[in-house]
Parts: sequence; C-alpha cells; structure tokens
Amino acid sequence: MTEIVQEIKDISDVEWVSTRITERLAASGDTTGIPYYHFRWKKKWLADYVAWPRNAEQVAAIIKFAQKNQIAVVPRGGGTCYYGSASPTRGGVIVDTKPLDKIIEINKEKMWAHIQSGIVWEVLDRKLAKQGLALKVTPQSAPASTIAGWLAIGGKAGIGTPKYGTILDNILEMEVVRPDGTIETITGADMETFYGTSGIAGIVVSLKLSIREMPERTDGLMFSFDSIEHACHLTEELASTSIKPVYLRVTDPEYEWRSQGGLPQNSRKGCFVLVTYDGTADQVEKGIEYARNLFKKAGGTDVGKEHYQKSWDDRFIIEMKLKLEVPTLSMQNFWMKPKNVSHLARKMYEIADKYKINSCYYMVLGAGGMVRFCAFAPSDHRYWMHFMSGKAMLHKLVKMGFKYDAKLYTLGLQNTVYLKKYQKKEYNHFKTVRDQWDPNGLMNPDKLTGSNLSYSRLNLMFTMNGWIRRLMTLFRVARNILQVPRWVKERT
Amino acid sequence: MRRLFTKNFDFDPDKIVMCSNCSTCRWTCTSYEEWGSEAMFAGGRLRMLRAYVEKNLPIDEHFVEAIYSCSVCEQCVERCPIKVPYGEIVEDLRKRLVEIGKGPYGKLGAMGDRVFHEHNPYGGEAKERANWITPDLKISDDSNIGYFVGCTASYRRPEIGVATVRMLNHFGIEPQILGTDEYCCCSPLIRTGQIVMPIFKKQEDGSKKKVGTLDVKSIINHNIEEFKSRGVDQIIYSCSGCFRTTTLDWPKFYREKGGILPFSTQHLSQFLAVKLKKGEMKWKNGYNERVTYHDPCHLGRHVGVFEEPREVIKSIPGIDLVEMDRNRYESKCCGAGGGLKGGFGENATNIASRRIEQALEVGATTLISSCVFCKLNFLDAVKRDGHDIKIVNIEDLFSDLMELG
Amino acid sequence: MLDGRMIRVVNLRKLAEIVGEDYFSSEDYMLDLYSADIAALPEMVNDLLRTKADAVAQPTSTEIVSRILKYCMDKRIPVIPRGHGTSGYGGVVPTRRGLVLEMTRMNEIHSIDKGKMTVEVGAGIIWGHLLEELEDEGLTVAAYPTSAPSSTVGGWVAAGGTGIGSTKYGGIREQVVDLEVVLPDGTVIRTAKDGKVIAQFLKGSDYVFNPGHDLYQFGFLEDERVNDNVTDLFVDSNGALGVITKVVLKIIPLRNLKPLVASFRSGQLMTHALENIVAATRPFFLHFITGDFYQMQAELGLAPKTSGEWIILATYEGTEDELAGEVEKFHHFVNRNNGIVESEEIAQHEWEERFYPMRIKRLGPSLAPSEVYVPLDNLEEFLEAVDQHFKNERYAIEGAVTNKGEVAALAWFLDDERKKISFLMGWYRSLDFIDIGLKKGGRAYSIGMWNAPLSRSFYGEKRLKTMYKVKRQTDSKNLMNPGKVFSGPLNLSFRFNLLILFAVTIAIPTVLFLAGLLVPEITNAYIPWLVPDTFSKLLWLIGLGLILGVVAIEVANMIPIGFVLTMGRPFMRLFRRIWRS
Repeated sequence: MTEIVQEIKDISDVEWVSTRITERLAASGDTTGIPYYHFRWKKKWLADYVAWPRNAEQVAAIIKFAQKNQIAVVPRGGGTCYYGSASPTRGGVIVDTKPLDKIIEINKEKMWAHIQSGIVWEVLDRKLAKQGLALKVTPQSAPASTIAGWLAIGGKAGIGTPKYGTILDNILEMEVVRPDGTIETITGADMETFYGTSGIAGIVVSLKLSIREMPERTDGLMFSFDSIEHACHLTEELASTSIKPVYLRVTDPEYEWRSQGGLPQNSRKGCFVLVTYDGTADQVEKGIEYARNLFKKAGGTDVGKEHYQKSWDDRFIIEMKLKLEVPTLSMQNFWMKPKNVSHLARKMYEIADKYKINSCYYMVLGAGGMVRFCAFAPSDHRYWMHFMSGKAMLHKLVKMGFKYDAKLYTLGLQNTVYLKKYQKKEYNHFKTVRDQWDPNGLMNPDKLTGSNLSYSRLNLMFTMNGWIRRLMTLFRVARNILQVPRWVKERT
Repeated sequence: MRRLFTKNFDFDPDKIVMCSNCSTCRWTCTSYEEWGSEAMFAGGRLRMLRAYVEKNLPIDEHFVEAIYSCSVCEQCVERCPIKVPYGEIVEDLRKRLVEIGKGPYGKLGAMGDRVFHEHNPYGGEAKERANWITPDLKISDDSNIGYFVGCTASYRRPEIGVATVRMLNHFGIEPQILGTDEYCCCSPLIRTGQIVMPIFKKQEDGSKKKVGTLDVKSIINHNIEEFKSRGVDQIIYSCSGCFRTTTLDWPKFYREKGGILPFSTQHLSQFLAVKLKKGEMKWKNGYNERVTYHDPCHLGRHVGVFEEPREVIKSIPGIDLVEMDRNRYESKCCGAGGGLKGGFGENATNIASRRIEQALEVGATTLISSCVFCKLNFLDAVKRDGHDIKIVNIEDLFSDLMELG
Repeated sequence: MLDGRMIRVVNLRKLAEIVGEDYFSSEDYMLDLYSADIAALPEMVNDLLRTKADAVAQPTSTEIVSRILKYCMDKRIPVIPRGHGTSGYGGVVPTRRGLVLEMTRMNEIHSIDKGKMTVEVGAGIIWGHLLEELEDEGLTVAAYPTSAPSSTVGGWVAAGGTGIGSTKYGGIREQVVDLEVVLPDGTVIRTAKDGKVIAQFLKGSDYVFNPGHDLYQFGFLEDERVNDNVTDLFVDSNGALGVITKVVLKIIPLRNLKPLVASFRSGQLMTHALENIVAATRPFFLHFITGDFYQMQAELGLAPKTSGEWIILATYEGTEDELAGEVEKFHHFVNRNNGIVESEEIAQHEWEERFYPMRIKRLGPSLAPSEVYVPLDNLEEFLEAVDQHFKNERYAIEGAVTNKGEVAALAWFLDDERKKISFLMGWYRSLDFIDIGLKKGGRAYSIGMWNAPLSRSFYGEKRLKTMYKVKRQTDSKNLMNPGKVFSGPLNLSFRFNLLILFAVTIAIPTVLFLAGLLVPEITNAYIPWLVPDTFSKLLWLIGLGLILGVVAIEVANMIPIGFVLTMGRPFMRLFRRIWRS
C-alpha cells in the first residue's frame, strides 16, 4: 500500500495522499446516521486512500493513477448527501475536493465569479458579501456542502431556485478532469453530463458561477393553514406569478414542532407556509402584499414576524434541527408537481398511522414550478421494528410516488435501486454517460448505473416489514417511541 | 447495542448518535482549518469514533492524535443545529483514553506529573508559587473577596497577578490570596482527560515505578476547602481558563454540597464592568489606537461573557473598538486551548497567526484579549511571524492607563 | 388493650382549665378537623386505624404549653403538637388518641433584630403574615415554603424541608438560629444556649433497642458529645422531642427579584439545562415542571403560552448590575440546550403562581402527592424510571433545586376519592415514587408518620441515636407525638380489633371441627386431642380461640408501619389494577 502512495507522491511531489485509517474512516462516511446498517449495504465501505488535490493537475494525476491500477475513484465534496453519493462501495481512492477552495477571479461587470469547485457555499457567500455581492442560488446545506457537490447531485431546489433556476442554469463554464485524466474546459450543453451525475463523467475542478448584486431587501411572511391542500394550491399559484419568491417552504405541524421546539401560538394545525422575496424594496413589498392577500383568502393565520424570522434564519439547518432527540432520521426526497403533493402527504400520514410510527414532511419550491418534497420517518435504529417500518413506509411512498409522476430528487447509492425500475429515461441517460466516459466503471462505482442490491429483494424485505408491523399494531404490541403532543397530531 | 462494543473501548453511544454528520461545524473548526482533514473536525471525529466503536477497531496512535488535535473551543457547538455537547464528548473521550492507557497525547502527560508533584503544570516549585507578590500589594486575611491567581500568572506572567491585585487595591479591595496553598485549577488536566492517572517515576535502571495517583477531584476540593475555611464568598479571576473551570467543572467534582460551590465567581472584566456601571471608575489616561477584542473561548462561548469586556474597552477615552469578522459567538479560537498548544505547539501558533491576520484585516493596531493563554499564544505568533500588532490583556491595559505599573 | 386510654372527663376538665375554656374543645367536629393533615385518609382507613384525638387545645403562651405537658405526662395522655397540617406525611396524625396542641394562637412577632438580622416569632405564625410584616420593614426571610399562604413557621421547622429561596439559602434547617422548645417534662429551653440540658440525657452508654429501621436492630451507643447549640437536633424532628413555641429566623434585606422562564421540548434537555444553570449561576429559586404537568395545565386552560412543555422557572435576586450578568448567563445556557427563554410577562405570571401548584386538582378530582429528594445528576434517570414505572397512572411532577444540589421532586397523582378501593390502593404510588427516588441516590423529603421507616437514612445514624436517647430520657412513655420519627406500631381501631378477635375465635374451632369431619384419619393420627368431638371440648376450643384472638390482636397492633407498607404494596398494586377500571 505504501508503495502505491509513493507512486502518487512521485507524480506530484507533494504530500497529499493518506492511508491513515482515521482519515479514511472520516472521509468514507456521510450524513447517513446509521453506519452499522449501511456498512453491510456498502460492500467495501472503507476507502483505501484519501487524496487532497490542490489543482487540476493533481486531480488528473490521481485519476491516471487509478486507471492504471484499476481502483475506484470516489469524488467527494462536503459529504452532506443522505444517500451515500460520496461513499465508497469498492474501496479505492477518495478525491476530497475541499482543498480546492480558492476564488480565482470575481468579475463585477459580467457578474460572475471564477472559483474552484471545492469551496463551501457559506464561505463563498460571506466572501462575496464583503464586496456587496450575493449568490443567486444556494442549497439548503450551504454551511457544509461545496459548489461542485451540489452540481453533482443535480441541485434544483434551494434558496433562490424558484427565481433563478437550477445550479446548472447559473454556471457559465467549467474546467473538468475527464475519467481518462484529460483536463478540459467546457461550456453550454456539454456541461449537462456533469449535472446530477455524481461524478461519473469526471471531476469538476473550477467553474464560473453567475452572481448578482446584494439585494436591497429580503423579507417575507409565514402563515399557517388548515390543510395540506391549501399549501399545494398556494405553492402552485405563487410559483406561476411574475414576482417569483426566492424561497418557499411548506412544513407540517410535527416538523415545525420538532424543529422549533413548539408551535407558534394560535396557529392552525394543517401546515405552515413560509415565503420570502428579495430584490428592490418595491418588488419585495409587492410580492409580500400579493402573497398576504392570497394567504388571507385561503383562510390562513399569520404566525407573526418573529416566528417567520426564526424560521428564515434557520433555512440552512432546518433539516438538521429535526435530529434533536431523533437518533435516526430516515428520509426520502421527491421531485414533483406541487398539486400532487397533497396525495402523497396524506398517504404518508395514513401509512404512518397504520404502522404507529412517526412521520412528517417539508417541501421546498425548486426551479420550474416543481417542488422537492421530503418525507421523514424520525426513528431510533435501536428500536429495530420502529426504524425498519419507517423505511418500509418510505419504500411504499416511492412506489406510490411514481403514480403521481414524482421522481426521486437525490439518487446517490441507495436510490439507484429504484432507478432502473421506475425511471427508465434517467437510467438510460446515466448509462450513456457512463459508457461514453467511463467504460471501466471506476468513477464513483455503484452509483446511478448499477446497484449492488436487487430491487425485488429490497421490495420483499420492506413489504414483509410492513406486514409484520401491521400485525404488531393489530395485536397492540407496536409502540410509537417518539411521542408528540396531542395537538400536533390534530392534523386535518 | 451493547453487543457492538469492544471490551476495551466502551463509549456511551447515546451521545454519538445525536450527531447527524451534517458537517455544519466543519469550516469554522479550528483544527480543520489547520489540518484540512475530515478526521480533525468535530463531526468528523464523531463519525470516526462511531466507526471505531461499532466496528471494533483497535485504538491506534492516529486516533489518539485526532482526538487530541481539538482545542475544545466549542465553536462547533454554537454552529450545531441541535447543539450536540461536543466539548463534553471529547473531554469524556480523552478521559477514557487516559483510563485505558492510550492517552494523553505526546508530552501532555508531563503536565499531570508536574501538577501531581508541584501543583502546577509548568513545573515551578510549589513553594515558589507566591514569589510574584511584590511588597506594595495589599493583601488581607479576612476579606470576603478572594483572588484566584492561577498557575500562568504565578509562574510565567507575574505581571498579570501584580496588575490585577493593584487594580483591586485601586478600588479599595484587599483580596485574600491562597499563596502557596493555591493548587492548580486543573483546567489543563480536565481538558486533556487526565482526571485520574497513575504517576510513574523512572528508576535508575530504566524501569518505571508507580509513585501515586493523580486525582483531580482532591486537588479541586483542596482549593474549595481553602477558600471556604477563609470565609471567601466571592472569587475574582484574571485567567479565563481558571474562571471557566471553576464555574463549570468544579461543581462536578465538589460533592460535599451536591456540587454547589460555597462562593460565587466573577471574571475581572465582569468586575470592571460592574464598577463602570456604578460610576466608580474613571480612566486616568486614554488609549488612542484602533483596537479589536478577541473573545477567549473559555470566557465567551463556554460561560457566556461577551459584552462586559467590550463595555470596559469602549469606555476608555480615545479608543476605537472595531469588531473582527468573526466575533462573539462566532469568535475564532486562538489555538491555545484544550491541550493543543501543549501537544501541537507549531500548529497552535499557525492558528494564532491566522487570527491575528483577521485583526489586521480590520485595521486594528492592538489586539485585546482577556485570557492569559490567548495572550501567550498570540505573543508566540507575533514573535515567529513578525506581525505588526500589539497584544494586551484587559488587566494590562488597566494597570497601564491607571498608572499603576 | 382493645382500645387506647381515653382521656377521662376529669382530665378534660382540668386541661380546659389550664388552657382556658375558649381555647379547648373535645367536640366531635373539632376533633375531625384537627386530627388529619392535607393527605386526607380514605374513610376506610378510619375503620382500620384509630386516628382521632380526644381533645384539642390552643395554647396562647409558652407557660401554658409547659403546664399542659407536665399534666399530660403525669396522666399519660399523648400530646400531638400541630401547626396548620399542610404537610402530607402524617406528622400530626394522632396515632394513640390524646390531646392535639394547635399552636396557631401563638402567632406574635416578638422582635426584629436588624443588627444580627434575625426575627423572633411565635411558632404558630403563618409564613404569609410574617412575610408581609417583614416587607413593611424592607426585610424578608431567605426561604419560605411553597405553602406559605397557609402553613405555620413552627410547622415547617418541625417537618423540615425546602421551599422558595432554598436554591440559594438552603432549607429551613439553614434558616433557624434559635428555638424555644418545651421538653416533655415541661422544661423550657432555648436551643442555641441550653445544650447542656440535652447533654445530660446523653451521659453514659447503654445497650439500646434501635427502632429506626424496617428491621429492628440492636446497637451500642457511644458517648455523644453535644455542644451548647442543639438547634439542629430539633429542626425537622416532627415534634417528637418537644413542642416548639418560639422560632428565631435569619432574615435578609428585601431585594430585587427577577423571574425568568425557559421552556424546553424534552426532559433530557431540561435537566441538562438545570445542571448548567445551577453550576454557572446562583438563582434564588430554581423550579421546573414536566411536560405532563404542562399538559394537565393545558387541559384546564391554565398553561403559560410557552413554546416547549418542560418549563424552568429561575428567579434571581440582587441589584440590577448583578442581575444583568446572571440573566445573560441564563440565556446562554438555555440556548445551549435548545431551550427558549420566554417573555417577561410569562415569567412574572409563573412566579406569581408559585404558591398554587394544586390547581390541577380539578382534573382529579383528588390529588395524591409524594415528594422525595433526588440528586440533580440523577434527575434524568429518575424521571425516566418514574415514567416507566407509572405507565397506567396519570401524574405530574414538579421540582425545585436545593442548595445541596438535590431536587425536591414532587409528584401529584390524579385520582378520584369517590372510588374508594381504587383510591386506597393507589397509595402504593406515593410509596413507589419515594422508593424510585431512594434507588436513584435520593433521600426522603420529610419523615412524619408514613416515612418513619426511612428515618435512619434521613437523619443519619448518629443523629438518630442522639434523638433516640433524648426521647428515651425525657419521654419514656412515648407520649410526645407518638409514632413519628421512631416508627411506631400500627394502632388498629376498636372495631377492627374486635373483628380480628371474632375471626380467630370462630375460625379455629370451625377449622378443627371441619378437619375432624373431612380428614378424620389425619386428625386422629396426629392431633386427636384437638378434634372437638364433644361439646365441652368445643367450648374449650372456643376458649382457646379467644385467648389466641387476644394474642393475635396484640401481635397485629405491634406490627410496625414500615412492615405493613412494604408487605402490602404488591397487593395494593394488584388491587389498584383490578378496581381502577
């Protein structure tokens, strides 16, 4: 092993590869909070090396080295994906792109920033803010995720996406290292092979990101409603008007209660809608006025400025705030039309009640009037049946979701198993990309194009789990381990 | 879950599973910035630890290094969406490592040795502890206000002790000082996990002989009993580390009254702020510089004292206080805490150097802190990298401007 | 001994003479009123136990108390001193009938010493009145009970415990400077200086019967040296050593109070925050309520409008400057533990409500309380254990942190007095609650009558021995508040004794008779002389039964309470489950 490191070192003449077990362990994990189960799922879950390249040449060197020795290459950004996009399954070398964190140039005339791909969104945002500039789009995991990381999972729902589109819409050009080690600069339609492909087409080293002036004002409002249908309808309406919100989020009472530690006084118990506008003071005023009228007409109740501000300030950590007292968080993301969300959400409640488990959701408006709908099954993996029933519920939702034209938002490792069965079109696209650029299958293996678990096995496992849980509920031995106050459950 | 644990490294999993590995704590982390490795930031350490615990991996030197490379500044706790008590976890972890004989890292164990023999981590002789006291200082035997000098002021920076006592004298307070009866507050030991540790002595033939057991609890109880028997009900601190340890850690070791100390604790900056509010303090001289204030982690994030030092600084005539990019809850660590300076001296200086650069960025010519460790570390950085900045502590400033020096 | 000594009419008349006719009563309704504390015993218990006094006296001066005690000791009349009976540990329940001394007429404020910062009051003064009076002078007491609107100073001194202000200044033990106590023989002593009087009872060592435990033990007493100040010996002694007539308390200047309220979403976060707050700040009063408590308040529409359901109320005292620092730290540690600091109105409201936790009684309609000290470190485990243990019960817990780092955890069990059996059997909950607390390293809150078996762990070996010696020397007939502190036997009612007698008398001959009929071979082989084949033999057997019956009564009356409570608990639990629905 040391010999191989020596070999890489010889190429680069710098010490940026490690074989230490501590480094490999820390770099092999991601947000998935249950390593024990996933260690089984991911066959060789521990990488052999971790590399920290600092420029395109070093990235190319490491890829060439991997090709020569036929070992897997796993590009890694912030490691904030829930689905193991950056987790090794066949060992190999992890290319940690976070050391690629320089801002190369900021062009204020043409309003773009030329940056290296491993820079963390929040850091970039802060640095731009000092110059009176701002990012157009940011993911919800901005405090930790990197630019290229969001690109690789196909970022299209976050802050700014309803107004400015997907991350790809905001990239002007990028410098990439292909799986054969060639360094290229690409623009236009060529860039699509890097959008949402988890690095199977190569590693992005630097890119030009479209930016904007710091908006004059950013403000919004938050309302509570009696039912989910209201929220779906309103989301559709707000997404289609000329003044587009910069951020729109819908949460259900349990989600709101878990993340904020309590519901605002006198709120309705169906769902909460938060909408934010930015731009000139005038535009913001108009947007808020429009939204407020719409909300009032729909019979909503204002939850107050204070709670809005708290929720808006938490926009980057809102997903993680759920984790308090919830040792294990299972979730599934859907990319779907807002009008279909209510069906899926109601189905979720229905299954959860049957299984006697917890469930909650939130959704964020993304690009093109679509939403990212996140269904959660808060649980504790030490209570095995409860935890697995949560998984079974999410599995059921995926199966049901395709009837409502819902696609999976993040694919990564775990969701690849559904791809071939339900999303033939995307699967074929990924297959073409893989065949074209990475015939050896070394770039981020087992993601998107081939799953190391068969769908029928998974389906059988979860279906059986569901049945057993139903039986347990029937015989009154199923227990909900995470209690919520009664008034949170009074959802209509 | 029990079945998943190794026999020799049993760690409470409830604490680790709280962390969702969202990595929000990563880019602000003191050690991540220095090493750039995912094994060396709060969330990464927990991820690694979890794998060690669940996969029964043997504890190796790299693991120990990763665990000891943290400065326990708790910036991560502030950043954490759910405030995982990371500081407690890492201290507990170090305690475990010491228990199984794998810690402390590097030369940190020498501190425990010295505290055991001489009651201070610097190795000065115990009977020389009160040597810094100059004859002009007024110290009483029956005041109800005490002053906890701390080891740094007693052995390394006597001017701090002198300045503080002069300051108290200035307000007509003659504090009680324990003198040679004062033992280490045990901050460095608790931070590095040396709670209970056997002390060995090298024999002539090279073998080691156990000479005793270091027990932090007995040292702390000694200090408390001393203050109690002297009737002290308020203690003033010039050292943020001692202040933090007394306020938050001593109660855990003081069992006699269920962990409630028989006195209240006050940092010197709090003391000055109260005097200022009461109008009992008038500055004699001004300080015509652009200054910035560095929040020591032990004073700020750990105990929650942010505004008092700023109030004191702002009240100095002619001073121009500017804030660094990262201040108050977001304040960047100087790199001296948590045994980082003792274990990784060069890296600690690098970290301090970066903090000084932040101060220079906002155009400050003086960097004010209120912690002796921060000051020491900053001075090291200035000495090595030649930054053009003055490093002072609040009590130095007071003693200078009031012409007490 | 079918029924205890009734006070003879002659004695009643004499006692009335001593106290004064107006302040003496032996009428039934008065006796009912003054024979119980707030823990109303189910009526059924009255059939079993004898808990009614023979007379009530309201002495107006120390001298009268002294004379009453002298007379009663002479005539062997048990004396039960009593305040307002706001404790629920049976400390004022007359176990052997006798005379109740109601102390509330001795309610003067004798003197306020602003130099030494003490106040001397009659034992019967109500805390609320004392507080009001002191407030006029710009003073206050450092700690007072949550039952301040109705409880008496002497009552709290005798029962012991912690209350508002205890987080900083300690419980009543820390507040008492001096006591005036009338010993059973009528001697009046000041505890701060008359320690010698007590010391003389402790001379010499002897072999004693030490009853302070479930299992009777014998031990050897060493010589105990007692210094001149024996105040500590009398605080929380439940009046078993003498009648407290005057109390000298510490006072402090009236200071600014600032209540703060923080809410949390779970018990784990709240307990962690409590630990931090206690470590880093010095609150005057630190109190919490659990989510269950909140839910019950919410059902009644009384809950404060907070975000979380686990609520901490911390009150700080001091000057504005001192307060500012503490408030900042409080905010810091609440935020650290994911809590929310609530508005000032809520805090003010919660602080004003501190005396009225019993409002949730409306849900009951009855409440059964139970209280125990638990170390703050183990609070989380304790709450979890309680949660696990009482799955089928509705209850709410509140608690206050004391200056010893303990939490006085108080549980209110909802119940319905009208369901008699179920209510009686529900008693096990109070006992189990205390038991869980003890298991988690806690100790009993107060001793009274029901907790008497726990007195050894509560007072500590040494103090209990001293108390026992004093008691033996001054009150060898056990007439001063009998059955308190030193676990006394169960005193069954006359009716119940009769029942036992009849049962035994009839049962033994009947069983033997039936045995002779059903299994003659066995009885003839082993106990032919016991088979009642002739009428005279039957009579003889009935006679034997009578004798055995009397013996059975005596034995039943000697069973210590602790034994009954321990043995009976599993049955209570079982019956509770059966009768509850």
